[in-house]
Amino acid sequence: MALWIDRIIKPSETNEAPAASDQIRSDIAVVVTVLFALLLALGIRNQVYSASNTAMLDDGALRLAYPERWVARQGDESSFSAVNLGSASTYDARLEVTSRPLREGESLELARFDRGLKLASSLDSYRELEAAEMQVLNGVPALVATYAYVADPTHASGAPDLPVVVEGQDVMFVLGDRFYVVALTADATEWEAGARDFAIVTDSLRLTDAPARAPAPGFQGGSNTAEGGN
Amino acid sequence: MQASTLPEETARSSGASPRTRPSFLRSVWFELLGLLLFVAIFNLLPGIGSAFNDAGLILLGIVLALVPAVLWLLFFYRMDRAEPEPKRLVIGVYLAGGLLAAALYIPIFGYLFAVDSWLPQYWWSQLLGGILVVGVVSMAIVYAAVRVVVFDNPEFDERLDGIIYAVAAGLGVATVNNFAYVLQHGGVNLDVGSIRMVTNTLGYASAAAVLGYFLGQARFEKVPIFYLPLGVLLGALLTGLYFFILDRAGASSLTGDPWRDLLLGIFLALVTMAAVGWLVRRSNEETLRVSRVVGDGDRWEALPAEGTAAEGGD
Repeated sequence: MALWIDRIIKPSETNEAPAASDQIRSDIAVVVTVLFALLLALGIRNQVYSASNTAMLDDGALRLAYPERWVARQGDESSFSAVNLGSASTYDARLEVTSRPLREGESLELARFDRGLKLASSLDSYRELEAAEMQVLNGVPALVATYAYVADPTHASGAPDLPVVVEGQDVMFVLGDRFYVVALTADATEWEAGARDFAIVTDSLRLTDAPARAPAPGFQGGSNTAEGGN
Repeated sequence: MQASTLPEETARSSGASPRTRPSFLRSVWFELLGLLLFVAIFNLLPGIGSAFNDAGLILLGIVLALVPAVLWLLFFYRMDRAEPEPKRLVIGVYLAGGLLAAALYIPIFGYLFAVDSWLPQYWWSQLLGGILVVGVVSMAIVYAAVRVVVFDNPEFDERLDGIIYAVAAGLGVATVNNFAYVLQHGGVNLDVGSIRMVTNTLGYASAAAVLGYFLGQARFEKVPIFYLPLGVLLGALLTGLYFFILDRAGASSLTGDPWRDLLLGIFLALVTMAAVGWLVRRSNEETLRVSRVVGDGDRWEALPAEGTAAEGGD
Protein backbone atom coordinates (compact mmCIF):
# COMPACT_ATOMS: atom_id res chain seq x y z
CA MET A 1 0.00 0.00 0.00
CA ALA A 2 2.73 2.41 1.02
CA LEU A 3 4.58 1.50 -2.16
CA TRP A 4 1.55 2.33 -4.26
CA ILE A 5 1.01 5.65 -2.50
CA ASP A 6 4.69 6.36 -3.04
CA ARG A 7 4.35 5.66 -6.76
CA ILE A 8 1.31 7.93 -6.92
CA ILE A 9 3.17 10.74 -5.20
CA LYS A 10 6.42 10.19 -7.05
CA PRO A 11 5.66 8.82 -10.50
CA SER A 12 9.12 9.59 -11.85
CA GLU A 13 12.51 9.54 -10.19
CA THR A 14 13.91 12.53 -12.02
CA ASN A 15 11.06 15.02 -12.47
CA GLU A 16 11.82 14.81 -16.17
CA ALA A 17 9.22 16.78 -18.15
CA PRO A 18 7.00 14.64 -20.36
CA ALA A 19 7.41 14.66 -24.13
CA ALA A 20 4.40 14.94 -26.43
CA SER A 21 4.80 11.27 -27.32
CA ASP A 22 4.56 10.35 -23.62
CA GLN A 23 1.25 12.14 -23.35
CA ILE A 24 -0.10 10.44 -26.45
CA ARG A 25 0.99 7.10 -25.03
CA SER A 26 -0.91 7.91 -21.84
CA ASP A 27 -3.97 8.91 -23.89
CA ILE A 28 -3.92 5.58 -25.67
CA ALA A 29 -3.56 3.75 -22.38
CA VAL A 30 -6.57 5.63 -20.98
CA VAL A 31 -8.69 4.84 -24.06
CA VAL A 32 -7.77 1.15 -23.84
CA THR A 33 -8.57 1.12 -20.12
CA VAL A 34 -11.95 2.75 -20.66
CA LEU A 35 -12.86 0.34 -23.46
CA PHE A 36 -11.77 -2.62 -21.35
CA ALA A 37 -13.89 -1.40 -18.42
CA LEU A 38 -16.91 -0.98 -20.69
CA LEU A 39 -16.42 -4.49 -22.09
CA LEU A 40 -16.33 -5.83 -18.54
CA ALA A 41 -19.53 -3.92 -17.83
CA LEU A 42 -21.20 -5.54 -20.85
CA GLY A 43 -20.24 -8.92 -19.41
CA ILE A 44 -21.76 -8.00 -16.05
CA ARG A 45 -24.92 -6.80 -17.78
CA ASN A 46 -25.25 -10.11 -19.62
CA GLN A 47 -24.64 -11.95 -16.36
CA VAL A 48 -27.55 -10.07 -14.78
CA TYR A 49 -29.79 -10.67 -17.78
CA SER A 50 -29.15 -14.40 -17.80
CA ALA A 51 -29.15 -15.04 -14.04
CA SER A 52 -31.80 -17.66 -13.42
CA ASN A 53 -33.16 -20.25 -11.00
CA THR A 54 -34.65 -23.61 -11.85
CA ALA A 55 -38.13 -24.83 -10.97
CA MET A 56 -39.28 -28.46 -11.06
CA LEU A 57 -42.74 -29.91 -11.46
CA ASP A 58 -44.06 -33.41 -10.99
CA ASP A 59 -40.92 -34.85 -9.40
CA GLY A 60 -38.63 -33.39 -12.01
CA ALA A 61 -40.67 -34.38 -15.05
CA LEU A 62 -40.49 -30.77 -16.15
CA ARG A 63 -37.62 -28.42 -15.33
CA LEU A 64 -37.58 -24.85 -16.42
CA ALA A 65 -35.63 -21.70 -15.64
CA TYR A 66 -36.99 -18.36 -14.53
CA PRO A 67 -35.24 -15.04 -13.83
CA GLU A 68 -33.37 -15.16 -10.55
CA ARG A 69 -34.77 -11.88 -9.29
CA TRP A 70 -38.39 -12.99 -9.72
CA VAL A 71 -40.10 -14.10 -6.54
CA ALA A 72 -41.09 -17.76 -6.74
CA ARG A 73 -44.17 -19.33 -5.20
CA GLN A 74 -44.12 -23.10 -5.29
CA GLY A 75 -47.66 -24.41 -5.08
CA ASP A 76 -48.35 -28.12 -4.93
CA GLU A 77 -46.44 -30.71 -6.93
CA SER A 78 -48.09 -29.64 -10.15
CA SER A 79 -48.06 -25.87 -10.03
CA PHE A 80 -45.46 -23.15 -9.78
CA SER A 81 -45.46 -19.41 -10.21
CA ALA A 82 -42.93 -16.60 -10.14
CA VAL A 83 -43.57 -12.87 -10.14
CA ASN A 84 -41.40 -9.94 -11.10
CA LEU A 85 -42.14 -7.55 -8.24
CA GLY A 86 -39.92 -4.97 -9.93
CA SER A 87 -42.28 -4.56 -12.88
CA ALA A 88 -42.89 -1.00 -13.98
CA SER A 89 -46.64 -1.68 -14.22
CA THR A 90 -49.14 -2.23 -11.45
CA TYR A 91 -49.62 -5.66 -13.04
CA ASP A 92 -46.43 -7.59 -12.25
CA ALA A 93 -45.04 -9.74 -15.04
CA ARG A 94 -45.38 -13.37 -14.05
CA LEU A 95 -44.90 -16.99 -14.92
CA GLU A 96 -47.47 -19.60 -14.01
CA VAL A 97 -46.89 -23.26 -14.69
CA THR A 98 -49.59 -25.87 -14.16
CA SER A 99 -50.08 -29.47 -15.09
CA ARG A 100 -52.94 -31.93 -14.95
CA PRO A 101 -53.48 -35.50 -16.12
CA LEU A 102 -54.90 -35.88 -19.61
CA ARG A 103 -58.45 -37.15 -19.65
CA GLU A 104 -59.23 -40.31 -21.48
CA GLY A 105 -59.07 -39.71 -25.22
CA GLU A 106 -57.96 -36.11 -24.71
CA SER A 107 -55.37 -34.79 -27.17
CA LEU A 108 -53.20 -31.67 -26.99
CA GLU A 109 -55.66 -29.82 -29.23
CA LEU A 110 -58.64 -30.74 -27.03
CA ALA A 111 -56.79 -29.79 -23.86
CA ARG A 112 -55.84 -26.48 -25.41
CA PHE A 113 -59.51 -25.88 -26.39
CA ASP A 114 -60.53 -26.58 -22.81
CA ARG A 115 -57.94 -24.13 -21.50
CA GLY A 116 -59.14 -21.45 -23.94
CA LEU A 117 -62.73 -21.87 -22.75
CA LYS A 118 -61.72 -21.51 -19.13
CA LEU A 119 -59.75 -18.35 -19.80
CA ALA A 120 -62.56 -16.85 -21.89
CA SER A 121 -65.07 -17.46 -19.13
CA SER A 122 -62.91 -16.26 -16.25
CA LEU A 123 -61.03 -13.26 -17.65
CA ASP A 124 -62.48 -9.87 -18.51
CA SER A 125 -62.49 -9.01 -22.25
CA TYR A 126 -60.42 -12.07 -23.08
CA ARG A 127 -59.48 -12.54 -26.69
CA GLU A 128 -57.04 -14.82 -28.41
CA LEU A 129 -54.73 -12.96 -30.73
CA GLU A 130 -52.62 -15.65 -32.32
CA ALA A 131 -51.90 -19.36 -32.17
CA ALA A 132 -49.04 -21.39 -33.56
CA GLU A 133 -47.75 -24.93 -33.64
CA MET A 134 -44.27 -25.14 -32.17
CA GLN A 135 -42.18 -27.65 -30.28
CA VAL A 136 -40.47 -27.79 -26.90
CA LEU A 137 -37.83 -29.94 -25.23
CA ASN A 138 -36.24 -31.04 -28.48
CA GLY A 139 -39.21 -32.27 -30.42
CA VAL A 140 -42.26 -32.39 -28.14
CA PRO A 141 -45.19 -30.85 -30.07
CA ALA A 142 -46.54 -27.70 -28.45
CA LEU A 143 -49.21 -25.12 -29.08
CA VAL A 144 -48.52 -21.49 -28.32
CA ALA A 145 -51.48 -19.16 -27.87
CA THR A 146 -51.11 -15.42 -27.49
CA TYR A 147 -54.01 -13.58 -25.90
CA ALA A 148 -55.00 -10.43 -24.08
CA TYR A 149 -57.47 -9.46 -21.38
CA VAL A 150 -58.20 -6.64 -18.97
CA ALA A 151 -57.05 -6.89 -15.36
CA ASP A 152 -57.57 -4.56 -12.45
CA PRO A 153 -54.64 -5.37 -10.17
CA THR A 154 -55.10 -2.46 -7.77
CA HIS A 155 -58.87 -2.83 -7.39
CA ALA A 156 -58.67 -5.07 -4.35
CA SER A 157 -56.45 -2.64 -2.47
CA GLY A 158 -58.75 0.28 -3.25
CA ALA A 159 -56.11 2.19 -5.17
CA PRO A 160 -57.45 4.42 -7.94
CA ASP A 161 -55.18 3.15 -10.77
CA LEU A 162 -56.63 2.32 -14.18
CA PRO A 163 -57.23 -1.26 -15.26
CA VAL A 164 -54.44 -2.82 -17.29
CA VAL A 165 -54.50 -4.60 -20.63
CA VAL A 166 -52.58 -7.80 -19.98
CA GLU A 167 -50.85 -9.72 -22.74
CA GLY A 168 -50.27 -13.41 -22.21
CA GLN A 169 -48.68 -16.33 -23.93
CA ASP A 170 -49.47 -19.96 -23.11
CA VAL A 171 -47.06 -22.68 -24.11
CA MET A 172 -49.04 -25.93 -23.96
CA PHE A 173 -47.69 -29.42 -24.42
CA VAL A 174 -48.09 -33.00 -23.28
CA LEU A 175 -45.38 -34.90 -21.42
CA GLY A 176 -46.17 -38.50 -20.62
CA ASP A 177 -49.83 -38.46 -19.68
CA ARG A 178 -49.89 -34.94 -18.32
CA PHE A 179 -50.92 -31.68 -19.95
CA TYR A 180 -48.63 -28.75 -19.14
CA VAL A 181 -49.33 -25.03 -19.49
CA VAL A 182 -46.51 -22.53 -19.12
CA ALA A 183 -48.21 -19.12 -19.03
CA LEU A 184 -46.30 -15.85 -19.30
CA THR A 185 -48.25 -12.66 -18.69
CA ALA A 186 -47.39 -8.97 -18.40
CA ASP A 187 -48.84 -5.53 -18.91
CA ALA A 188 -49.11 -5.30 -22.72
CA THR A 189 -47.15 -2.05 -22.72
CA GLU A 190 -44.32 -3.76 -20.80
CA TRP A 191 -44.22 -6.91 -22.91
CA GLU A 192 -41.26 -5.85 -25.01
CA ALA A 193 -39.38 -4.63 -21.95
CA GLY A 194 -39.80 -8.03 -20.35
CA ALA A 195 -38.87 -10.02 -23.45
CA ARG A 196 -35.42 -10.85 -22.06
CA ASP A 197 -36.93 -12.33 -18.91
CA PHE A 198 -39.47 -14.35 -20.86
CA ALA A 199 -36.69 -15.63 -23.09
CA ILE A 200 -35.04 -17.21 -20.03
CA VAL A 201 -38.19 -19.30 -19.58
CA THR A 202 -38.79 -20.14 -23.23
CA ASP A 203 -35.11 -20.87 -23.86
CA SER A 204 -35.09 -23.35 -20.98
CA LEU A 205 -38.09 -25.04 -22.60
CA ARG A 206 -36.14 -25.04 -25.86
CA LEU A 207 -39.18 -23.55 -27.59
CA THR A 208 -38.68 -23.61 -31.36
CA ASP A 209 -40.79 -23.47 -34.48
CA ALA A 210 -42.38 -26.74 -35.46
CA PRO A 211 -40.81 -28.35 -38.53
CA ALA A 212 -42.74 -27.58 -41.68
CA ARG A 213 -45.14 -30.34 -42.67
CA ALA A 214 -44.50 -31.98 -46.00
CA PRO A 215 -47.17 -31.07 -48.56
CA ALA A 216 -49.52 -33.81 -49.56
CA PRO A 217 -48.54 -35.56 -52.81
CA GLY A 218 -49.86 -33.66 -55.80
CA PHE A 219 -50.62 -30.56 -53.71
CA GLN A 220 -49.77 -27.40 -55.65
CA GLY A 221 -49.31 -23.91 -54.22
CA GLY A 222 -50.48 -22.42 -50.93
CA SER A 223 -48.73 -22.43 -47.60
CA ASN A 224 -47.02 -25.54 -46.38
CA THR A 225 -47.23 -24.54 -42.75
CA ALA A 226 -49.80 -25.59 -40.23
CA GLU A 227 -52.96 -23.58 -39.87
CA GLY A 228 -52.87 -20.74 -37.38
CA GLY A 229 -49.16 -20.15 -37.84
CA ASN A 230 -47.71 -16.94 -36.68
CA MET B 1 -0.68 34.38 -14.86
CA GLN B 2 1.29 34.64 -18.07
CA ALA B 3 3.63 31.73 -18.02
CA SER B 4 6.43 31.57 -20.50
CA THR B 5 8.25 29.56 -17.84
CA LEU B 6 6.02 27.33 -15.81
CA PRO B 7 6.24 27.75 -12.03
CA GLU B 8 6.79 24.02 -11.70
CA GLU B 9 9.78 24.28 -14.04
CA THR B 10 11.03 27.30 -12.15
CA ALA B 11 10.78 25.34 -8.95
CA ARG B 12 12.73 22.51 -10.48
CA SER B 13 15.56 24.71 -11.68
CA SER B 14 15.83 26.98 -8.66
CA GLY B 15 15.00 24.60 -5.89
CA ALA B 16 12.27 26.96 -4.70
CA SER B 17 9.07 25.63 -3.27
CA PRO B 18 6.20 25.29 -5.76
CA ARG B 19 3.63 28.01 -5.16
CA THR B 20 0.99 27.38 -2.61
CA ARG B 21 -2.71 27.64 -3.46
CA PRO B 22 -4.74 28.05 -0.29
CA SER B 23 -7.48 29.70 -2.36
CA PHE B 24 -8.51 26.32 -3.73
CA LEU B 25 -9.06 24.63 -0.40
CA ARG B 26 -10.69 27.74 1.05
CA SER B 27 -13.10 27.83 -1.88
CA VAL B 28 -13.93 24.16 -1.27
CA TRP B 29 -14.84 24.97 2.33
CA PHE B 30 -16.97 27.92 1.29
CA GLU B 31 -18.59 25.80 -1.40
CA LEU B 32 -19.65 23.27 1.23
CA LEU B 33 -21.04 26.01 3.44
CA GLY B 34 -22.84 27.57 0.49
CA LEU B 35 -24.36 24.24 -0.49
CA LEU B 36 -25.58 23.66 3.06
CA LEU B 37 -27.19 27.09 3.00
CA PHE B 38 -28.72 26.30 -0.40
CA VAL B 39 -30.25 23.10 0.95
CA ALA B 40 -31.36 24.76 4.18
CA ILE B 41 -33.31 27.44 2.29
CA PHE B 42 -35.45 24.85 0.55
CA ASN B 43 -35.84 22.57 3.53
CA LEU B 44 -36.45 25.03 6.32
CA LEU B 45 -39.01 27.14 4.47
CA PRO B 46 -42.06 24.90 4.29
CA GLY B 47 -44.25 24.96 1.21
CA ILE B 48 -41.89 27.03 -0.89
CA GLY B 49 -42.55 24.76 -3.85
CA SER B 50 -46.31 25.17 -3.72
CA ALA B 51 -46.02 28.61 -5.30
CA PHE B 52 -44.91 27.04 -8.58
CA ASN B 53 -46.85 25.10 -11.19
CA ASP B 54 -45.31 22.16 -13.11
CA ALA B 55 -43.62 24.32 -15.74
CA GLY B 56 -42.33 26.62 -13.00
CA LEU B 57 -40.89 23.66 -11.11
CA ILE B 58 -39.08 22.48 -14.24
CA LEU B 59 -37.62 25.92 -14.84
CA LEU B 60 -36.70 26.30 -11.19
CA GLY B 61 -35.15 22.83 -11.20
CA ILE B 62 -33.00 23.71 -14.18
CA VAL B 63 -31.83 26.86 -12.45
CA LEU B 64 -31.16 24.86 -9.27
CA ALA B 65 -29.09 22.36 -11.25
CA LEU B 66 -26.69 25.17 -12.04
CA VAL B 67 -26.42 26.49 -8.50
CA PRO B 68 -23.70 24.16 -7.11
CA ALA B 69 -21.43 24.83 -10.08
CA VAL B 70 -22.04 28.56 -10.06
CA LEU B 71 -21.41 28.68 -6.29
CA TRP B 72 -18.08 26.93 -6.67
CA LEU B 73 -16.99 29.15 -9.54
CA LEU B 74 -17.98 32.27 -7.58
CA PHE B 75 -16.15 31.18 -4.44
CA PHE B 76 -13.14 30.06 -6.38
CA TYR B 77 -12.77 33.40 -8.11
CA ARG B 78 -13.35 35.33 -4.92
CA MET B 79 -10.58 33.34 -3.22
CA ASP B 80 -8.24 33.16 -6.16
CA ARG B 81 -8.03 36.82 -7.08
CA ALA B 82 -4.29 36.93 -6.42
CA GLU B 83 -3.45 34.50 -9.21
CA PRO B 84 -6.65 33.55 -10.97
CA GLU B 85 -6.94 30.86 -13.58
CA PRO B 86 -8.35 32.42 -16.75
CA LYS B 87 -12.13 32.45 -16.54
CA ARG B 88 -12.47 31.37 -20.14
CA LEU B 89 -10.45 28.22 -19.48
CA VAL B 90 -12.27 27.20 -16.31
CA ILE B 91 -15.65 27.89 -17.89
CA GLY B 92 -14.50 26.24 -21.12
CA VAL B 93 -13.57 23.04 -19.26
CA TYR B 94 -16.85 23.18 -17.34
CA LEU B 95 -18.83 23.54 -20.57
CA ALA B 96 -16.79 20.83 -22.30
CA GLY B 97 -17.52 18.43 -19.43
CA GLY B 98 -21.21 19.29 -19.57
CA LEU B 99 -21.48 19.07 -23.36
CA LEU B 100 -19.65 15.74 -23.51
CA ALA B 101 -21.92 14.38 -20.78
CA ALA B 102 -25.02 15.65 -22.57
CA ALA B 103 -23.84 14.08 -25.82
CA LEU B 104 -22.74 10.72 -24.40
CA TYR B 105 -24.95 9.92 -21.43
CA ILE B 106 -28.12 8.94 -23.28
CA PRO B 107 -26.40 6.95 -26.06
CA ILE B 108 -24.15 5.11 -23.62
CA PHE B 109 -26.34 4.71 -20.55
CA GLY B 110 -29.70 4.53 -22.31
CA TYR B 111 -29.06 2.66 -25.56
CA LEU B 112 -25.72 0.86 -25.35
CA PHE B 113 -25.95 -0.32 -21.75
CA ALA B 114 -29.64 0.20 -20.89
CA VAL B 115 -28.51 0.62 -17.29
CA ASP B 116 -32.01 0.99 -15.85
CA SER B 117 -32.85 -2.58 -16.84
CA TRP B 118 -30.02 -4.32 -14.97
CA LEU B 119 -27.93 -2.03 -12.82
CA PRO B 120 -30.31 -1.81 -9.82
CA GLN B 121 -31.17 -5.54 -9.84
CA TYR B 122 -28.48 -6.78 -7.44
CA TRP B 123 -26.12 -5.09 -5.03
CA TRP B 124 -23.12 -6.36 -6.98
CA SER B 125 -24.48 -5.20 -10.33
CA GLN B 126 -25.18 -1.81 -8.80
CA LEU B 127 -21.66 -1.56 -7.40
CA LEU B 128 -19.79 -2.93 -10.42
CA GLY B 129 -22.04 -1.17 -12.93
CA GLY B 130 -21.69 2.07 -10.98
CA ILE B 131 -17.92 1.80 -11.17
CA LEU B 132 -17.45 0.36 -14.65
CA VAL B 133 -20.17 2.27 -16.50
CA VAL B 134 -21.17 5.41 -14.60
CA GLY B 135 -17.77 6.01 -13.01
CA VAL B 136 -15.59 5.17 -15.97
CA VAL B 137 -17.69 7.13 -18.47
CA SER B 138 -17.85 10.16 -16.16
CA MET B 139 -14.11 10.10 -15.54
CA ALA B 140 -13.39 9.59 -19.25
CA ILE B 141 -15.45 12.70 -19.91
CA VAL B 142 -13.52 14.66 -17.27
CA TYR B 143 -10.24 13.40 -18.71
CA ALA B 144 -11.21 14.31 -22.27
CA ALA B 145 -12.46 17.77 -21.26
CA VAL B 146 -9.24 18.66 -19.42
CA ARG B 147 -6.97 17.03 -21.96
CA VAL B 148 -8.55 18.73 -24.97
CA VAL B 149 -9.34 22.16 -23.57
CA VAL B 150 -6.53 23.03 -21.20
CA PHE B 151 -3.87 20.35 -20.76
CA ASP B 152 -1.37 21.80 -23.23
CA ASN B 153 -2.20 25.40 -22.38
CA PRO B 154 0.63 27.37 -20.69
CA GLU B 155 -1.89 28.55 -18.09
CA PHE B 156 -1.89 24.99 -16.75
CA ASP B 157 1.25 25.74 -14.81
CA GLU B 158 0.86 24.04 -11.43
CA ARG B 159 -0.04 20.59 -10.25
CA LEU B 160 -3.05 21.94 -8.40
CA ASP B 161 -4.38 23.34 -11.69
CA GLY B 162 -5.08 19.75 -12.71
CA ILE B 163 -7.47 19.46 -9.78
CA ILE B 164 -9.06 22.85 -10.41
CA TYR B 165 -9.79 22.11 -14.07
CA ALA B 166 -10.87 18.53 -13.41
CA VAL B 167 -13.29 19.72 -10.71
CA ALA B 168 -14.70 22.21 -13.22
CA ALA B 169 -15.24 19.38 -15.73
CA GLY B 170 -16.77 17.21 -12.98
CA LEU B 171 -19.16 20.03 -12.14
CA GLY B 172 -20.17 20.11 -15.81
CA VAL B 173 -20.98 16.39 -15.66
CA ALA B 174 -22.91 16.88 -12.41
CA THR B 175 -24.90 19.77 -13.89
CA VAL B 176 -26.04 17.63 -16.81
CA ASN B 177 -26.99 14.86 -14.39
CA ASN B 178 -29.01 17.31 -12.37
CA PHE B 179 -30.70 18.61 -15.54
CA ALA B 180 -31.61 15.06 -16.48
CA TYR B 181 -33.02 14.43 -13.00
CA VAL B 182 -35.23 17.52 -13.22
CA LEU B 183 -36.49 16.72 -16.71
CA GLN B 184 -37.15 13.05 -15.94
CA HIS B 185 -39.16 13.94 -12.87
CA GLY B 186 -41.13 16.74 -14.53
CA GLY B 187 -39.79 19.33 -12.17
CA VAL B 188 -38.11 19.12 -8.83
CA ASN B 189 -39.26 18.39 -5.34
CA LEU B 190 -37.49 21.34 -3.81
CA ASP B 191 -36.47 19.84 -0.49
CA VAL B 192 -35.36 16.35 -1.53
CA GLY B 193 -34.35 17.56 -5.00
CA SER B 194 -32.03 20.23 -3.69
CA ILE B 195 -30.26 17.67 -1.50
CA ARG B 196 -29.95 15.26 -4.37
CA MET B 197 -28.37 17.93 -6.54
CA VAL B 198 -25.86 18.75 -3.87
CA THR B 199 -24.92 15.11 -3.24
CA ASN B 200 -24.61 14.55 -7.00
CA THR B 201 -22.35 17.53 -7.30
CA LEU B 202 -20.16 16.54 -4.37
CA GLY B 203 -19.74 13.03 -5.74
CA TYR B 204 -18.66 14.01 -9.23
CA ALA B 205 -16.50 16.90 -8.08
CA SER B 206 -14.66 14.75 -5.50
CA ALA B 207 -13.97 11.93 -7.93
CA ALA B 208 -12.86 14.42 -10.57
CA ALA B 209 -10.47 15.96 -8.05
CA VAL B 210 -8.74 12.59 -7.67
CA LEU B 211 -8.33 12.28 -11.43
CA GLY B 212 -7.22 15.92 -11.51
CA TYR B 213 -4.37 15.09 -9.17
CA PHE B 214 -3.08 12.50 -11.64
CA LEU B 215 -3.53 14.92 -14.53
CA GLY B 216 -1.57 17.54 -12.63
CA GLN B 217 1.28 15.10 -12.09
CA ALA B 218 1.25 13.96 -15.71
CA ARG B 219 1.45 17.55 -16.89
CA PHE B 220 4.82 18.07 -15.26
CA GLU B 221 6.44 14.68 -14.98
CA LYS B 222 7.07 11.79 -17.28
CA VAL B 223 4.73 9.24 -15.75
CA PRO B 224 4.58 5.46 -16.21
CA ILE B 225 2.06 4.19 -18.75
CA PHE B 226 -0.32 2.94 -16.06
CA TYR B 227 -0.40 6.26 -14.22
CA LEU B 228 -3.25 8.10 -15.95
CA PRO B 229 -5.38 4.95 -16.43
CA LEU B 230 -4.94 4.42 -12.68
CA GLY B 231 -6.23 7.94 -12.10
CA VAL B 232 -9.28 7.28 -14.27
CA LEU B 233 -9.95 3.99 -12.49
CA LEU B 234 -9.54 5.49 -9.01
CA GLY B 235 -11.92 8.30 -9.93
CA ALA B 236 -14.37 5.75 -11.34
CA LEU B 237 -14.04 3.60 -8.22
CA LEU B 238 -14.76 6.59 -6.03
CA THR B 239 -17.78 7.60 -8.13
CA GLY B 240 -19.23 4.09 -8.03
CA LEU B 241 -18.58 3.63 -4.31
CA TYR B 242 -19.96 7.06 -3.45
CA PHE B 243 -23.31 6.52 -5.15
CA PHE B 244 -23.45 2.90 -3.99
CA ILE B 245 -22.93 3.89 -0.35
CA LEU B 246 -25.49 6.67 -0.62
CA ASP B 247 -28.01 4.30 -2.12
CA ARG B 248 -27.37 1.51 0.34
CA ALA B 249 -27.56 3.94 3.23
CA GLY B 250 -31.19 4.39 2.27
CA ALA B 251 -31.01 7.46 0.11
CA SER B 252 -33.29 6.22 -2.62
CA SER B 253 -35.72 4.33 -0.51
CA LEU B 254 -39.00 5.79 0.61
CA THR B 255 -37.90 5.58 4.21
CA GLY B 256 -34.49 7.10 3.51
CA ASP B 257 -33.40 10.26 5.19
CA PRO B 258 -32.07 12.77 2.64
CA TRP B 259 -30.30 14.73 5.38
CA ARG B 260 -28.29 11.64 6.24
CA ASP B 261 -27.36 11.47 2.54
CA LEU B 262 -26.23 15.03 2.60
CA LEU B 263 -24.08 14.58 5.68
CA LEU B 264 -22.62 11.39 4.26
CA GLY B 265 -21.95 13.13 0.94
CA ILE B 266 -20.22 16.04 2.66
CA PHE B 267 -18.19 13.66 4.80
CA LEU B 268 -17.04 11.64 1.79
CA ALA B 269 -16.26 14.81 -0.16
CA LEU B 270 -14.21 16.21 2.73
CA VAL B 271 -12.28 12.96 3.12
CA THR B 272 -11.55 12.89 -0.61
CA MET B 273 -10.51 16.53 -0.77
CA ALA B 274 -8.32 16.10 2.30
CA ALA B 275 -6.66 13.06 0.72
CA VAL B 276 -6.11 14.92 -2.53
CA GLY B 277 -4.77 17.96 -0.66
CA TRP B 278 -2.34 15.71 1.21
CA LEU B 279 -1.21 14.11 -2.04
CA VAL B 280 -0.62 17.50 -3.63
CA ARG B 281 1.41 18.68 -0.65
CA ARG B 282 3.52 15.55 -0.72
CA SER B 283 4.01 15.90 -4.46
CA ASN B 284 5.14 19.48 -4.09
CA GLU B 285 7.57 18.40 -1.40
CA GLU B 286 8.84 15.70 -3.70
CA THR B 287 9.28 18.19 -6.53
CA LEU B 288 11.28 20.38 -4.20
CA ARG B 289 13.43 17.50 -2.97
CA VAL B 290 14.24 16.19 -6.42
CA SER B 291 14.94 19.67 -7.74
CA ARG B 292 17.59 20.21 -5.06
CA VAL B 293 20.10 17.99 -6.71
CA VAL B 294 23.76 18.37 -7.10
CA GLY B 295 24.92 18.49 -10.68
CA ASP B 296 28.06 16.62 -11.43
CA GLY B 297 28.46 16.36 -15.17
CA ASP B 298 25.68 14.15 -16.39
CA ARG B 299 25.23 12.50 -13.04
CA TRP B 300 22.40 13.69 -10.82
CA GLU B 301 22.18 12.79 -7.22
CA ALA B 302 19.02 13.40 -5.26
CA LEU B 303 19.29 14.90 -1.80
CA PRO B 304 17.84 12.91 1.08
CA ALA B 305 14.20 13.58 1.81
CA GLU B 306 14.55 14.27 5.52
CA GLY B 307 14.61 17.89 6.53
CA THR B 308 14.77 19.33 3.05
CA ALA B 309 11.12 19.69 2.25
CA ALA B 310 9.76 21.38 5.31
CA GLU B 311 8.97 24.59 3.51
CA GLY B 312 7.17 22.93 0.63
CA GLY B 313 3.53 22.22 0.38
CA ASP B 314 0.52 24.33 0.03
